[in-house]
Amino acid sequence: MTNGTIKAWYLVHKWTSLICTAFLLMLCLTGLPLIFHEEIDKALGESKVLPAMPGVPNHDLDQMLAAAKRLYPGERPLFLSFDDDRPVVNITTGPTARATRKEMHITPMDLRTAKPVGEIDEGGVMGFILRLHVDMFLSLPGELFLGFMGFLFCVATVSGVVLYAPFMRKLDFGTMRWSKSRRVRWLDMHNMLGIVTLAWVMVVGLTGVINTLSDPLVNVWRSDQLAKLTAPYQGLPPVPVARFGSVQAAVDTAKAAAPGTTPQFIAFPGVRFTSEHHFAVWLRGATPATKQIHTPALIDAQTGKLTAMAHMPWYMLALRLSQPLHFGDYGAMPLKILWALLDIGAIVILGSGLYLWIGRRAGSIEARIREVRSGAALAPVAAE
Amino acid sequence: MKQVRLKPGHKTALAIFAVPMLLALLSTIGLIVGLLGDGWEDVLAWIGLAAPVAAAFWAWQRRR
Repeated sequence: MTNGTIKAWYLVHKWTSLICTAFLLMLCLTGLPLIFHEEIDKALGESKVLPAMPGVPNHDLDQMLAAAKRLYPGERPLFLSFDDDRPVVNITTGPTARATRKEMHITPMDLRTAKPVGEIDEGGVMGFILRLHVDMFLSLPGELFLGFMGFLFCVATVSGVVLYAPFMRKLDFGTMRWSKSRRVRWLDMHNMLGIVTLAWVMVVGLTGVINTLSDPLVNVWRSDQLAKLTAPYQGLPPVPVARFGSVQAAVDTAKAAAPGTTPQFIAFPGVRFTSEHHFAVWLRGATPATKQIHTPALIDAQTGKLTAMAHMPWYMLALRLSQPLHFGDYGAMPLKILWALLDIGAIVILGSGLYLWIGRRAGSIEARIREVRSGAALAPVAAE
Repeated sequence: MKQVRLKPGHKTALAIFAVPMLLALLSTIGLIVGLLGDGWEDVLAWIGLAAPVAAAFWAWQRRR
């Protein structure tokens, strides 16, 4: 590698790192408690665990819907969604099909008692940390900004790997010169941790970037695919609410068409995410991977027959699979602990990188390149 | 500026990246296999991702 090549990569590494480091430190620090958010929520008593009721069967969805309608007379059903880890269906009702968020009522109801239960708390300490991590309270622009920081971080990581080669030419893997100067100590630490965590850091970094594109992509996909699937129904008059068939039957039909799946989200005719004539039942699989793959089944609201079943395009698969790969929540507690250790490694990499830049001695860029080329053996070392 | 001369006999790229590539491979297999199920797949995920963590601890304890 020529001095010119090293200089170019050194500059890329320096500038991409300098721009993103503060934000990445924030992301790694807030990410650490988020790995254990379930356990922390439980410890803080913020999770709404429902009592076990062995032997009590679930009500069917039509009964649940009737119970919700009694709570909000005069409103029509809009959406149903299911909680991940408790027997709860969230029923959204509103005055009209295109009701605004403020006009809607979202009622979580226990499937066994058909009674409303407490909402899962989105506030609290963990809610605050999550918002900071996702968008710094700045909604989509904040999300996209952090996505760009994540992209710079990935470039910094790649350039760091390139610089690792000349640095390590005369050093064995894992060399940690602890008795040399403080700078050499942290250089070795930075390089060792950087190279061993490489794959994990790149996967969590890239999937984090992809996750920031989630909202726009989901909207495009839903409207795009929907338009194609419901083309034959275009121009027919909307189905009035009174003529809606059984939603439980619609779910059963959808599940029968895709064995091994469970419903995640149901849209009633007329609302966003479906047509004027269909229940849209969004199904998902049972493994950590297929749980992320949502297949919408469109069920004719009057006849109860399956009209169409769609499959996710590649970009939606990438998006959905990016979530578990970013959160590390798919391999029980040992995976979470490894995730936390690797995250701490990333914090040390960021911190040591910052230290190496702040603690650089006055001198030309050539001195930096000499340091990289010689594995810090030939850098001017001052007494520390 | 003084030109830095390195003696011959320094490592090839393959030698430099042999262990890092192995660790990256193990990590990646762990990350992906863990997605495919919740039983033995998780155990493979733990083993795969334990590799880089173990390498870091190994390097740390032999610092000198």
